Amino acid sequence: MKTTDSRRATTVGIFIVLGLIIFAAAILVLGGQKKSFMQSIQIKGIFHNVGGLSRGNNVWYSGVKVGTIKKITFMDHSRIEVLMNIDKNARPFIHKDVRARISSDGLVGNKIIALDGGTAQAAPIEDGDVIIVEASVSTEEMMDTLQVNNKNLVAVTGNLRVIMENITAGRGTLGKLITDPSVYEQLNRTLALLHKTAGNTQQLTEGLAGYAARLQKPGVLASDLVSDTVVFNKLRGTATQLQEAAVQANKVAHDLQAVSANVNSRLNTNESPAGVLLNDSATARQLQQTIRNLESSTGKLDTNMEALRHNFLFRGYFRKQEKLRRKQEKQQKAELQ
Amino acid sequence: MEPIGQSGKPVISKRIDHFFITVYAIFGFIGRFLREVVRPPFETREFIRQCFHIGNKSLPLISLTGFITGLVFTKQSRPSLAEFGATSWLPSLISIAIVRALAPLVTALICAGRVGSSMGAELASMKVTEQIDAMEVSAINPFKYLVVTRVLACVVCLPLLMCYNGLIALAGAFVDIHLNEQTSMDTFIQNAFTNISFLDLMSSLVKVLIYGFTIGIVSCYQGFHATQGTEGVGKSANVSVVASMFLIFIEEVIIVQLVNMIR
Repeated sequence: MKTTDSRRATTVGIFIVLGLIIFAAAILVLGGQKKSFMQSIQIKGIFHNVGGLSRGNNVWYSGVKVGTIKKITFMDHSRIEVLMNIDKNARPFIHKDVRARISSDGLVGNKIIALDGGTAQAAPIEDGDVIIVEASVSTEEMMDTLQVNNKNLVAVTGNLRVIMENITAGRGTLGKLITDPSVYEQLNRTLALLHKTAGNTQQLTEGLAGYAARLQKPGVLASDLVSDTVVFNKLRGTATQLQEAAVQANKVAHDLQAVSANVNSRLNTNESPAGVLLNDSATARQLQQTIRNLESSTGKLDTNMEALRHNFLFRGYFRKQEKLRRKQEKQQKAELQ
Repeated sequence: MEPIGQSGKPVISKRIDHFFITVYAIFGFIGRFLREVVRPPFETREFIRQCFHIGNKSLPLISLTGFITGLVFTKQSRPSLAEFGATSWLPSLISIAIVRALAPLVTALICAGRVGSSMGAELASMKVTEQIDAMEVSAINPFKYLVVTRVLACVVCLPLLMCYNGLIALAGAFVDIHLNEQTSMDTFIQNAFTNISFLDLMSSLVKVLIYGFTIGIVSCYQGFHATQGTEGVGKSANVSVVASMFLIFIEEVIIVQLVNMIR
Protein backbone atom coordinates (compact mmCIF):
# COMPACT_ATOMS: atom_id res chain seq x y z
CA MET A 1 0.00 0.00 0.00
CA LYS A 2 2.82 2.32 0.93
CA THR A 3 4.70 1.50 -2.30
CA THR A 4 1.59 2.26 -4.34
CA ASP A 5 1.13 5.54 -2.50
CA SER A 6 4.72 6.64 -3.03
CA ARG A 7 4.60 5.66 -6.71
CA ARG A 8 1.38 7.59 -7.05
CA ALA A 9 2.91 10.57 -5.26
CA THR A 10 5.93 10.44 -7.62
CA THR A 11 3.80 10.39 -10.77
CA VAL A 12 1.64 13.18 -9.42
CA GLY A 13 4.82 15.13 -8.58
CA ILE A 14 6.18 14.62 -12.10
CA PHE A 15 2.84 15.66 -13.53
CA ILE A 16 2.80 18.84 -11.43
CA VAL A 17 6.46 19.72 -12.15
CA LEU A 18 6.05 19.21 -15.90
CA GLY A 19 2.90 21.30 -15.88
CA LEU A 20 4.66 24.08 -13.98
CA ILE A 21 7.62 23.89 -16.39
CA ILE A 22 5.26 24.31 -19.36
CA PHE A 23 3.62 27.27 -17.68
CA ALA A 24 6.98 28.83 -16.78
CA ALA A 25 8.25 28.27 -20.33
CA ALA A 26 5.17 30.01 -21.71
CA ILE A 27 5.76 32.98 -19.40
CA LEU A 28 9.44 33.14 -20.36
CA VAL A 29 8.75 32.96 -24.10
CA LEU A 30 6.03 35.57 -23.74
CA GLY A 31 8.24 37.75 -21.58
CA GLY A 32 11.08 37.41 -24.05
CA GLN A 33 8.80 38.44 -26.89
CA LYS A 34 7.28 41.32 -25.01
CA LYS A 35 10.71 42.31 -23.72
CA SER A 36 9.23 42.28 -20.24
CA PHE A 37 12.45 41.14 -18.62
CA MET A 38 14.73 43.51 -20.50
CA GLN A 39 16.58 46.41 -18.92
CA SER A 40 15.03 49.46 -20.42
CA ILE A 41 15.04 53.24 -20.50
CA GLN A 42 11.95 55.36 -20.92
CA ILE A 43 11.50 58.03 -23.58
CA LYS A 44 8.49 60.15 -24.46
CA GLY A 45 6.80 61.41 -27.59
CA ILE A 46 4.06 64.03 -27.75
CA PHE A 47 1.45 63.25 -30.41
CA HIS A 48 -1.71 65.03 -31.56
CA ASN A 49 -3.34 61.76 -32.60
CA VAL A 50 -2.16 58.27 -31.68
CA GLY A 51 -4.59 56.52 -34.07
CA GLY A 52 -5.62 53.68 -31.75
CA LEU A 53 -2.19 52.99 -30.26
CA SER A 54 -2.50 51.14 -26.96
CA ARG A 55 -0.36 50.09 -24.02
CA GLY A 56 1.83 47.12 -24.83
CA ASN A 57 2.10 47.88 -28.55
CA ASN A 58 5.55 47.60 -30.04
CA VAL A 59 8.16 50.27 -30.76
CA TRP A 60 10.28 49.62 -33.85
CA TYR A 61 13.51 51.26 -34.82
CA SER A 62 14.42 50.78 -38.49
CA GLY A 63 12.10 47.75 -38.57
CA VAL A 64 13.54 46.10 -35.44
CA LYS A 65 11.48 45.79 -32.27
CA VAL A 66 13.29 47.76 -29.58
CA GLY A 67 10.57 48.32 -27.00
CA THR A 68 6.94 48.62 -26.02
CA ILE A 69 4.44 51.33 -25.18
CA LYS A 70 4.35 51.80 -21.41
CA LYS A 71 1.72 54.46 -20.94
CA ILE A 72 -0.51 56.80 -22.94
CA THR A 73 -1.80 59.92 -21.17
CA PHE A 74 -3.52 63.16 -22.18
CA MET A 75 -1.45 66.29 -21.53
CA ASP A 76 -4.13 68.72 -22.71
CA HIS A 77 -6.96 68.77 -25.24
CA SER A 78 -4.65 68.33 -28.26
CA ARG A 79 -1.52 66.67 -26.94
CA ILE A 80 -1.05 63.04 -25.93
CA GLU A 81 2.06 61.87 -24.17
CA VAL A 82 3.24 58.38 -25.09
CA LEU A 83 5.76 56.79 -22.75
CA MET A 84 7.93 54.12 -24.34
CA ASN A 85 10.17 51.45 -22.82
CA ILE A 86 13.28 51.11 -24.98
CA ASP A 87 15.71 48.20 -24.68
CA LYS A 88 18.98 49.37 -23.15
CA ASN A 89 20.92 47.31 -25.69
CA ALA A 90 19.35 49.30 -28.53
CA ARG A 91 20.01 52.68 -26.86
CA PRO A 92 23.48 53.33 -28.41
CA PHE A 93 22.01 53.08 -31.92
CA ILE A 94 19.06 55.42 -31.38
CA HIS A 95 20.10 59.06 -31.43
CA LYS A 96 18.42 62.09 -29.94
CA ASP A 97 17.33 63.43 -33.38
CA VAL A 98 15.39 60.24 -34.16
CA ARG A 99 11.81 60.79 -35.39
CA ALA A 100 8.76 58.90 -34.16
CA ARG A 101 5.56 58.30 -36.07
CA ILE A 102 2.47 56.15 -35.64
CA SER A 103 2.53 53.21 -38.03
CA SER A 104 1.26 49.64 -38.20
CA ASP A 105 3.07 46.30 -38.39
CA GLY A 106 1.17 45.26 -41.52
CA LEU A 107 -1.66 46.38 -43.76
CA VAL A 108 -4.22 45.58 -41.08
CA GLY A 109 -1.82 44.88 -38.25
CA ASN A 110 -1.39 46.35 -34.78
CA LYS A 111 -0.47 49.97 -34.30
CA ILE A 112 3.17 50.59 -33.51
CA ILE A 113 5.51 53.53 -33.03
CA ALA A 114 8.13 53.52 -35.77
CA LEU A 115 11.38 55.31 -34.99
CA ASP A 116 13.35 56.41 -38.05
CA GLY A 117 16.37 58.50 -38.93
CA GLY A 118 18.74 60.03 -36.48
CA THR A 119 22.33 61.02 -37.19
CA ALA A 120 25.55 59.72 -35.68
CA GLN A 121 26.52 63.30 -34.76
CA ALA A 122 23.69 63.44 -32.23
CA ALA A 123 24.15 61.73 -28.86
CA PRO A 124 22.29 58.47 -28.08
CA ILE A 125 18.90 58.82 -26.38
CA GLU A 126 18.75 58.94 -22.61
CA ASP A 127 16.16 58.13 -19.99
CA GLY A 128 13.41 60.74 -19.97
CA ASP A 129 14.20 62.21 -23.43
CA VAL A 130 11.33 63.67 -25.44
CA ILE A 131 11.84 62.71 -29.07
CA ILE A 132 10.66 64.50 -32.23
CA VAL A 133 7.32 63.37 -33.58
CA GLU A 134 6.31 63.24 -37.24
CA ALA A 135 2.72 63.45 -38.42
CA SER A 136 1.73 60.26 -40.20
CA VAL A 137 -0.94 59.62 -42.76
CA SER A 138 -3.97 58.21 -41.01
CA THR A 139 -6.32 55.62 -42.41
CA GLU A 140 -9.02 58.28 -42.69
CA GLU A 141 -6.78 60.46 -44.83
CA MET A 142 -5.94 57.48 -46.99
CA MET A 143 -9.63 56.73 -47.34
CA ASP A 144 -10.29 60.37 -48.33
CA THR A 145 -7.66 60.14 -51.04
CA LEU A 146 -9.12 56.86 -52.20
CA GLN A 147 -12.53 58.51 -52.29
CA VAL A 148 -11.21 61.23 -54.63
CA ASN A 149 -9.58 58.50 -56.75
CA ASN A 150 -12.90 56.68 -56.85
CA LYS A 151 -14.69 59.79 -58.11
CA ASN A 152 -12.05 60.26 -60.81
CA LEU A 153 -12.41 56.62 -61.74
CA VAL A 154 -16.16 57.00 -62.06
CA ALA A 155 -15.67 60.02 -64.36
CA VAL A 156 -13.10 58.13 -66.44
CA THR A 157 -15.32 55.08 -66.79
CA GLY A 158 -18.25 57.36 -67.74
CA ASN A 159 -16.19 58.92 -70.52
CA LEU A 160 -15.02 55.51 -71.60
CA ARG A 161 -18.61 54.35 -71.80
CA VAL A 162 -19.51 57.28 -74.10
CA ILE A 163 -16.49 56.56 -76.30
CA MET A 164 -17.40 52.90 -76.53
CA GLU A 165 -20.99 53.78 -77.43
CA ASN A 166 -19.76 56.07 -80.23
CA ILE A 167 -17.42 53.40 -81.49
CA THR A 168 -20.16 50.78 -81.42
CA ALA A 169 -22.51 53.15 -83.27
CA GLY A 170 -19.83 53.81 -85.90
CA ARG A 171 -19.42 57.48 -85.00
CA GLY A 172 -16.05 59.17 -85.14
CA THR A 173 -12.85 58.07 -86.83
CA LEU A 174 -12.37 55.01 -84.66
CA GLY A 175 -16.01 53.99 -85.00
CA LYS A 176 -15.85 54.25 -88.81
CA LEU A 177 -12.61 52.37 -88.85
CA ILE A 178 -14.24 49.52 -86.97
CA THR A 179 -17.71 49.50 -88.54
CA ASP A 180 -17.21 50.81 -92.15
CA PRO A 181 -16.04 47.99 -94.48
CA SER A 182 -14.78 50.45 -97.16
CA VAL A 183 -12.44 52.05 -94.63
CA TYR A 184 -11.31 48.60 -93.71
CA GLU A 185 -10.66 47.76 -97.36
CA GLN A 186 -8.71 50.98 -97.85
CA LEU A 187 -6.73 50.30 -94.77
CA ASN A 188 -6.10 46.77 -95.94
CA ARG A 189 -4.88 48.00 -99.32
CA THR A 190 -2.70 50.62 -97.68
CA LEU A 191 -1.27 47.99 -95.44
CA ALA A 192 -0.61 45.72 -98.45
CA LEU A 193 1.16 48.61 -100.17
CA LEU A 194 3.07 49.35 -97.06
CA HIS A 195 3.99 45.71 -96.86
CA LYS A 196 5.21 45.75 -100.44
CA THR A 197 7.10 49.01 -99.87
CA ALA A 198 8.66 47.52 -96.81
CA GLY A 199 9.75 44.52 -98.90
CA ASN A 200 11.26 46.79 -101.52
CA THR A 201 12.92 48.91 -98.91
CA GLN A 202 14.34 45.78 -97.41
CA GLN A 203 15.70 44.67 -100.75
CA LEU A 204 17.12 48.14 -101.37
CA THR A 205 18.67 48.20 -97.97
CA GLU A 206 20.16 44.78 -98.54
CA GLY A 207 21.54 45.96 -101.93
CA LEU A 208 22.96 49.08 -100.34
CA ALA A 209 24.43 47.00 -97.59
CA GLY A 210 26.08 44.68 -100.15
CA TYR A 211 27.31 47.66 -102.16
CA ALA A 212 28.65 49.31 -99.02
CA ALA A 213 30.34 46.04 -98.08
CA ARG A 214 31.95 45.84 -101.51
CA LEU A 215 33.04 49.47 -101.24
CA GLN A 216 34.56 48.75 -97.89
CA LYS A 217 36.45 45.68 -99.18
CA PRO A 218 40.23 46.38 -99.12
CA GLY A 219 41.75 46.88 -102.61
CA VAL A 220 38.61 48.48 -104.02
CA LEU A 221 39.17 52.03 -105.27
CA ALA A 222 36.47 53.52 -103.06
CA SER A 223 37.85 51.77 -99.97
CA ASP A 224 41.40 52.82 -100.89
CA LEU A 225 40.18 56.35 -101.52
CA VAL A 226 38.73 56.47 -98.06
CA SER A 227 41.31 54.47 -96.18
CA ASP A 228 44.58 54.29 -98.23
CA THR A 229 46.54 57.56 -97.90
CA VAL A 230 49.10 56.52 -100.60
CA VAL A 231 46.46 56.18 -103.27
CA PHE A 232 44.94 59.45 -102.28
CA ASN A 233 48.32 61.21 -102.53
CA LYS A 234 48.89 59.64 -105.93
CA LEU A 235 45.53 60.85 -107.11
CA ARG A 236 46.25 64.27 -105.81
CA GLY A 237 49.60 64.24 -107.74
CA THR A 238 47.85 63.03 -110.89
CA ALA A 239 45.28 65.78 -110.57
CA THR A 240 48.06 68.33 -110.20
CA GLN A 241 49.81 66.94 -113.28
CA LEU A 242 46.55 66.98 -115.23
CA GLN A 243 46.07 70.56 -114.23
CA GLU A 244 49.56 71.40 -115.44
CA ALA A 245 48.95 69.48 -118.68
CA ALA A 246 45.74 71.40 -119.16
CA VAL A 247 47.62 74.66 -118.73
CA GLN A 248 50.22 73.50 -121.26
CA ALA A 249 47.50 72.40 -123.69
CA ASN A 250 45.85 75.74 -123.30
CA LYS A 251 49.10 77.43 -124.09
CA VAL A 252 49.64 75.18 -127.18
CA ALA A 253 46.11 75.96 -128.29
CA HIS A 254 46.88 79.67 -127.98
CA ASP A 255 50.07 79.21 -130.03
CA LEU A 256 48.20 77.20 -132.68
CA GLN A 257 45.58 79.89 -132.82
CA ALA A 258 48.30 82.50 -133.41
CA VAL A 259 49.98 80.31 -136.06
CA SER A 260 46.66 79.70 -137.69
CA ALA A 261 45.90 83.42 -137.74
CA ASN A 262 49.32 84.09 -139.22
CA VAL A 263 48.90 81.36 -141.89
CA ASN A 264 45.47 82.65 -142.66
CA SER A 265 46.70 86.18 -143.12
CA ARG A 266 49.59 84.94 -145.25
CA LEU A 267 47.30 82.77 -147.36
CA ASN A 268 45.10 85.77 -148.10
CA THR A 269 48.03 87.72 -149.58
CA ASN A 270 50.33 87.07 -152.64
CA GLU A 271 53.41 87.32 -150.55
CA SER A 272 53.72 83.61 -149.86
CA PRO A 273 53.89 80.79 -152.44
CA ALA A 274 50.68 79.28 -151.05
CA GLY A 275 48.97 82.70 -151.18
CA VAL A 276 50.09 83.12 -154.78
CA LEU A 277 48.79 79.62 -155.58
CA LEU A 278 45.48 80.39 -153.86
CA ASN A 279 44.88 84.00 -154.85
CA ASP A 280 46.78 84.76 -158.17
CA SER A 281 44.71 83.76 -161.27
CA ALA A 282 47.62 84.28 -163.71
CA THR A 283 49.74 81.86 -161.78
CA ALA A 284 46.86 79.44 -161.74
CA ARG A 285 46.52 79.61 -165.50
CA GLN A 286 50.26 79.09 -165.91
CA LEU A 287 50.08 76.13 -163.56
CA GLN A 288 47.23 74.65 -165.58
CA GLN A 289 49.22 75.08 -168.79
CA THR A 290 52.23 73.46 -167.14
CA ILE A 291 50.10 70.50 -166.04
CA ARG A 292 48.73 70.08 -169.58
CA ASN A 293 52.24 70.17 -170.93
CA LEU A 294 53.26 67.53 -168.40
CA GLU A 295 50.35 65.27 -169.46
CA SER A 296 51.28 65.45 -173.16
CA SER A 297 54.95 64.90 -172.28
CA THR A 298 54.03 61.87 -170.18
CA GLY A 299 52.00 60.37 -173.09
CA LYS A 300 54.86 60.81 -175.49
CA LEU A 301 57.32 59.35 -172.90
CA ASP A 302 55.05 56.30 -172.58
CA THR A 303 55.13 55.72 -176.29
CA ASN A 304 58.93 56.06 -176.25
CA MET A 305 59.21 53.52 -173.44
CA GLU A 306 56.98 51.02 -175.28
CA ALA A 307 59.22 51.43 -178.26
CA LEU A 308 62.23 50.70 -176.03
CA ARG A 309 60.70 47.39 -174.87
CA HIS A 310 60.65 46.13 -178.39
CA ASN A 311 64.19 47.35 -179.03
CA PHE A 312 66.66 44.45 -179.28
CA LEU A 313 68.90 46.04 -176.69
CA PHE A 314 66.29 45.84 -173.98
CA ARG A 315 64.09 42.92 -175.22
CA GLY A 316 66.12 40.26 -173.31
CA TYR A 317 65.69 41.96 -170.01
CA PHE A 318 61.89 42.05 -170.36
CA ARG A 319 61.70 38.36 -171.38
CA LYS A 320 63.67 37.44 -168.20
CA GLN A 321 61.29 39.39 -166.13
CA GLU A 322 58.31 37.57 -167.70
CA LYS A 323 59.83 34.13 -167.00
CA LEU A 324 60.57 34.99 -163.38
CA ARG A 325 56.97 36.09 -162.83
CA ARG A 326 55.53 32.85 -164.27
CA LYS A 327 57.83 30.76 -162.12
CA GLN A 328 56.67 32.50 -158.96
CA GLU A 329 53.00 31.93 -159.89
CA LYS A 330 53.61 28.18 -160.35
CA GLN A 331 55.31 27.96 -156.97
CA GLN A 332 52.36 29.68 -155.28
CA LYS A 333 49.86 27.26 -156.87
CA ALA A 334 51.89 24.24 -155.77
CA GLU A 335 52.03 25.51 -152.20
CA LEU A 336 48.29 26.04 -152.18
CA GLN A 337 47.62 22.42 -153.37
CA MET B 1 -34.85 20.75 3.46
CA GLU B 2 -38.42 21.34 2.34
CA PRO B 3 -39.22 24.56 0.41
CA ILE B 4 -42.06 25.61 2.67
CA GLY B 5 -42.53 28.92 4.51
CA GLN B 6 -43.64 29.44 8.07
CA SER B 7 -47.31 29.15 7.11
CA GLY B 8 -46.65 25.80 5.39
CA LYS B 9 -47.13 27.34 1.90
CA PRO B 10 -44.31 28.04 -0.60
CA VAL B 11 -42.94 31.64 -0.58
CA ILE B 12 -43.07 32.00 -4.37
CA SER B 13 -43.69 28.55 -5.79
CA LYS B 14 -42.51 25.16 -4.81
CA ARG B 15 -40.00 24.93 -7.65
CA ILE B 16 -38.63 28.48 -7.29
CA ASP B 17 -38.35 28.11 -3.55
CA HIS B 18 -36.43 24.86 -4.14
CA PHE B 19 -34.03 26.63 -6.50
CA PHE B 20 -33.21 29.32 -3.93
CA ILE B 21 -32.81 26.73 -1.19
CA THR B 22 -30.37 24.86 -3.42
CA VAL B 23 -28.42 28.08 -4.05
CA TYR B 24 -28.29 28.70 -0.33
CA ALA B 25 -27.16 25.13 0.29
CA ILE B 26 -24.45 25.37 -2.38
CA PHE B 27 -23.08 28.60 -0.92
CA GLY B 28 -23.21 26.98 2.52
CA PHE B 29 -21.29 24.05 1.03
CA ILE B 30 -18.70 26.45 -0.46
CA GLY B 31 -18.39 28.28 2.85
CA ARG B 32 -17.83 25.01 4.64
CA PHE B 33 -15.19 24.06 2.09
CA LEU B 34 -13.36 27.38 2.59
CA ARG B 35 -13.41 26.83 6.35
CA GLU B 36 -12.25 23.23 6.15
CA VAL B 37 -9.53 23.80 3.57
CA VAL B 38 -7.40 25.92 5.88
CA ARG B 39 -8.10 23.93 9.00
CA PRO B 40 -5.78 21.01 9.89
CA PRO B 41 -5.45 18.10 9.72
CA PHE B 42 -4.75 17.94 5.99
CA GLU B 43 -5.57 14.77 4.13
CA THR B 44 -2.42 14.82 2.01
CA ARG B 45 -2.49 11.19 0.95
CA GLU B 46 -6.08 11.41 -0.23
CA PHE B 47 -5.27 14.70 -1.94
CA ILE B 48 -2.39 13.04 -3.87
CA ARG B 49 -4.64 10.12 -4.74
CA GLN B 50 -7.25 12.50 -6.10
CA CYS B 51 -4.56 14.44 -8.01
CA PHE B 52 -3.47 11.16 -9.55
CA HIS B 53 -7.00 10.31 -10.59
CA ILE B 54 -7.93 13.76 -11.82
CA GLY B 55 -4.58 14.84 -13.26
CA ASN B 56 -2.54 11.84 -14.34
CA LYS B 57 -5.44 9.67 -15.42
CA SER B 58 -6.96 12.50 -17.46
CA LEU B 59 -3.69 13.37 -19.19
CA PRO B 60 -3.97 10.91 -22.14
CA LEU B 61 -7.49 12.07 -22.93
CA ILE B 62 -6.55 15.72 -22.52
CA SER B 63 -3.45 15.25 -24.71
CA LEU B 64 -5.37 13.52 -27.48
CA THR B 65 -8.14 16.10 -27.37
CA GLY B 66 -5.64 18.95 -27.36
CA PHE B 67 -3.72 17.59 -30.33
CA ILE B 68 -6.88 17.05 -32.34
CA THR B 69 -8.24 20.47 -31.35
CA GLY B 70 -5.08 22.24 -32.55
CA LEU B 71 -4.86 20.22 -35.74
CA VAL B 72 -8.51 20.50 -36.70
CA PHE B 73 -8.81 24.16 -35.76
CA THR B 74 -5.80 24.93 -37.96
CA LYS B 75 -7.21 22.95 -40.84
CA GLN B 76 -10.59 24.64 -40.54
CA SER B 77 -9.11 28.14 -40.26
CA ARG B 78 -6.76 27.82 -43.23
CA PRO B 79 -9.28 28.22 -46.11
CA SER B 80 -10.62 31.50 -44.68
CA LEU B 81 -7.15 32.99 -44.31
CA ALA B 82 -5.96 31.54 -47.62
CA GLU B 83 -8.72 33.47 -49.39
CA PHE B 84 -6.82 36.68 -48.86
CA GLY B 85 -3.33 35.16 -48.72
CA ALA B 86 -2.88 35.43 -44.97
CA THR B 87 -1.97 31.86 -44.06
CA SER B 88 1.13 33.25 -42.36
CA TRP B 89 -1.27 34.53 -39.68
CA LEU B 90 -2.34 30.96 -38.79
CA PRO B 91 0.14 30.55 -35.87
CA SER B 92 -1.00 33.83 -34.39
CA LEU B 93 -4.69 33.05 -34.86
CA ILE B 94 -4.44 29.51 -33.51
CA SER B 95 -2.35 30.49 -30.50
CA ILE B 96 -4.80 33.23 -29.54
CA ALA B 97 -7.70 30.81 -29.84
CA ILE B 98 -5.91 28.11 -27.86
CA VAL B 99 -4.52 30.29 -25.08
CA ARG B 100 -7.54 32.53 -24.63
CA ALA B 101 -10.35 30.04 -25.03
CA LEU B 102 -9.78 26.52 -26.30
CA ALA B 103 -7.23 25.23 -23.80
CA PRO B 104 -9.14 26.25 -20.63
CA LEU B 105 -12.54 25.42 -22.04
CA VAL B 106 -11.67 22.05 -23.58
CA THR B 107 -9.78 21.03 -20.44
CA ALA B 108 -12.67 22.05 -18.24
CA LEU B 109 -15.28 20.29 -20.39
CA ILE B 110 -13.27 17.09 -20.60
CA CYS B 111 -12.75 17.14 -16.84
CA ALA B 112 -16.37 17.97 -16.20
CA GLY B 113 -17.33 14.90 -18.21
CA ARG B 114 -14.72 12.54 -16.91
CA VAL B 115 -13.98 13.75 -13.37
CA GLY B 116 -17.33 15.36 -12.51
CA SER B 117 -19.34 12.24 -13.30
CA SER B 118 -16.84 10.06 -11.48
CA MET B 119 -16.83 12.22 -8.36
CA GLY B 120 -20.58 12.70 -8.38
CA ALA B 121 -21.23 8.96 -8.73
CA GLU B 122 -18.56 7.98 -6.18
CA LEU B 123 -19.78 10.33 -3.46
CA ALA B 124 -23.43 9.59 -4.23
CA SER B 125 -22.91 5.85 -3.89
CA MET B 126 -21.07 6.46 -0.60
CA LYS B 127 -23.96 8.63 0.54
CA VAL B 128 -26.72 6.22 -0.37
CA THR B 129 -24.82 3.28 1.14
CA GLU B 130 -24.35 5.39 4.30
CA GLN B 131 -20.57 5.17 4.15
CA ILE B 132 -20.36 8.90 4.78
CA ASP B 133 -22.45 8.52 7.92
CA ALA B 134 -20.18 5.66 8.98
CA MET B 135 -17.16 7.95 8.55
CA GLU B 136 -18.75 10.54 10.78
CA VAL B 137 -19.41 7.88 13.37
CA SER B 138 -15.77 6.76 13.22
CA ALA B 139 -14.58 10.34 13.94
CA ILE B 140 -13.38 11.04 10.42
CA ASN B 141 -14.49 14.31 8.96
CA PRO B 142 -16.07 13.12 5.70
CA PHE B 143 -16.25 16.63 4.29
CA LYS B 144 -12.53 17.19 4.76
CA TYR B 145 -11.62 13.72 3.57
CA LEU B 146 -13.96 13.49 0.58
CA VAL B 147 -14.87 16.98 -0.50
CA VAL B 148 -11.89 19.19 0.36
CA THR B 149 -9.35 16.81 -1.18
CA ARG B 150 -11.37 16.39 -4.37
CA VAL B 151 -12.15 20.05 -4.87
CA LEU B 152 -8.57 21.02 -4.09
CA ALA B 153 -7.26 18.36 -6.49
CA CYS B 154 -9.52 19.78 -9.20
CA VAL B 155 -8.29 23.31 -8.54
CA VAL B 156 -4.64 22.22 -8.67
CA CYS B 157 -4.83 19.76 -11.54
CA LEU B 158 -6.99 21.64 -14.01
CA PRO B 159 -4.49 24.50 -14.58
CA LEU B 160 -1.75 21.92 -15.08
CA LEU B 161 -3.93 19.98 -17.50
CA MET B 162 -4.65 23.22 -19.30
CA CYS B 163 -0.90 23.81 -19.75
CA TYR B 164 -0.51 20.33 -21.21
CA ASN B 165 -3.55 20.78 -23.37
CA GLY B 166 -2.36 24.17 -24.67
CA LEU B 167 1.12 22.86 -25.41
CA ILE B 168 -0.14 19.78 -27.23
CA ALA B 169 -2.76 21.79 -29.11
CA LEU B 170 0.00 24.16 -30.30
CA ALA B 171 2.04 21.11 -31.27
CA GLY B 172 -0.92 19.82 -33.31
CA ALA B 173 -1.28 23.21 -34.96
CA PHE B 174 2.45 23.30 -35.68
CA VAL B 175 2.35 19.85 -37.31
CA ASP B 176 -0.37 20.98 -39.70
CA ILE B 177 1.20 24.38 -40.41
CA HIS B 178 4.63 22.85 -40.91
CA LEU B 179 3.28 20.26 -43.34
CA ASN B 180 1.30 22.80 -45.34
CA GLU B 181 3.26 26.05 -45.12
CA GLN B 182 6.71 24.61 -44.30
CA THR B 183 6.92 27.03 -41.37
CA SER B 184 9.88 26.38 -39.08
CA MET B 185 9.51 25.83 -35.34
CA ASP B 186 11.23 29.14 -34.52
CA THR B 187 8.97 31.14 -36.80
CA PHE B 188 5.92 29.34 -35.46
CA ILE B 189 6.79 30.13 -31.84
CA GLN B 190 7.70 33.71 -32.77
CA ASN B 191 4.41 34.26 -34.57
CA ALA B 192 2.33 32.29 -32.06
CA PHE B 193 3.32 34.45 -29.12
CA THR B 194 3.33 37.79 -30.96
CA ASN B 195 -0.27 38.63 -30.17
CA ILE B 196 -0.54 36.94 -26.79
CA SER B 197 -0.18 39.03 -23.68
CA PHE B 198 0.35 38.22 -20.03
CA LEU B 199 -3.24 39.18 -19.50
CA ASP B 200 -4.34 36.38 -21.83
CA LEU B 201 -2.21 33.86 -20.01
CA MET B 202 -3.28 34.99 -16.55
CA SER B 203 -6.95 35.25 -17.43
CA SER B 204 -6.83 31.68 -18.75
CA LEU B 205 -5.16 30.56 -15.56
CA VAL B 206 -7.78 32.26 -13.42
CA LYS B 207 -10.53 30.87 -15.63
CA VAL B 208 -9.34 27.31 -15.34
CA LEU B 209 -8.94 27.67 -11.56
CA ILE B 210 -12.55 28.77 -11.37
CA TYR B 211 -13.62 25.92 -13.67
CA GLY B 212 -11.75 23.43 -11.50
CA PHE B 213 -13.37 24.77 -8.39
CA THR B 214 -16.78 24.70 -10.06
CA ILE B 215 -16.39 21.09 -11.24
CA GLY B 216 -15.18 20.02 -7.80
CA ILE B 217 -17.83 21.84 -5.82
CA VAL B 218 -20.75 20.94 -8.11
CA SER B 219 -19.79 17.27 -8.34
CA CYS B 220 -19.10 16.92 -4.63
CA TYR B 221 -22.27 18.76 -3.73
CA GLN B 222 -24.34 16.52 -6.00
CA GLY B 223 -22.69 13.42 -4.60
CA PHE B 224 -22.80 14.60 -1.01
CA HIS B 225 -26.49 15.36 -1.25
CA ALA B 226 -27.58 12.32 -3.22
CA THR B 227 -30.91 10.71 -2.33
CA GLN B 228 -33.22 8.03 -3.69
CA GLY B 229 -30.80 5.10 -3.55
CA THR B 230 -29.07 3.79 -6.69
CA GLU B 231 -31.24 5.95 -8.85
CA GLY B 232 -29.82 8.96 -7.04
CA VAL B 233 -26.28 7.82 -7.91
CA GLY B 234 -26.96 8.02 -11.64
CA LYS B 235 -28.83 11.27 -11.21
CA SER B 236 -25.97 12.78 -9.24
CA ALA B 237 -23.43 11.76 -11.87
CA ASN B 238 -25.60 13.16 -14.63
CA VAL B 239 -26.43 16.42 -12.86
CA SER B 240 -22.77 16.85 -11.89
CA VAL B 241 -21.72 16.81 -15.54
CA VAL B 242 -24.60 18.89 -16.88
CA ALA B 243 -24.46 21.51 -14.12
CA SER B 244 -20.67 21.75 -14.27
CA MET B 245 -20.69 22.27 -18.05
CA PHE B 246 -23.51 24.76 -17.86
CA LEU B 247 -21.77 26.75 -15.15
CA ILE B 248 -18.47 26.59 -17.06
CA PHE B 249 -20.08 28.26 -20.07
CA ILE B 250 -21.76 30.88 -17.89
CA GLU B 251 -18.46 31.61 -16.17
CA GLU B 252 -16.67 31.75 -19.54
CA VAL B 253 -19.02 34.48 -20.73
CA ILE B 254 -18.65 36.50 -17.51
CA ILE B 255 -14.86 36.15 -17.34
CA VAL B 256 -14.40 37.10 -21.01
CA GLN B 257 -16.46 40.23 -20.39
CA LEU B 258 -14.40 41.10 -17.33
CA VAL B 259 -11.09 40.49 -19.13
CA ASN B 260 -12.20 42.61 -22.07
CA MET B 261 -13.02 45.40 -19.64
CA ILE B 262 -9.48 45.21 -18.25
CA ARG B 263 -7.79 44.81 -21.65
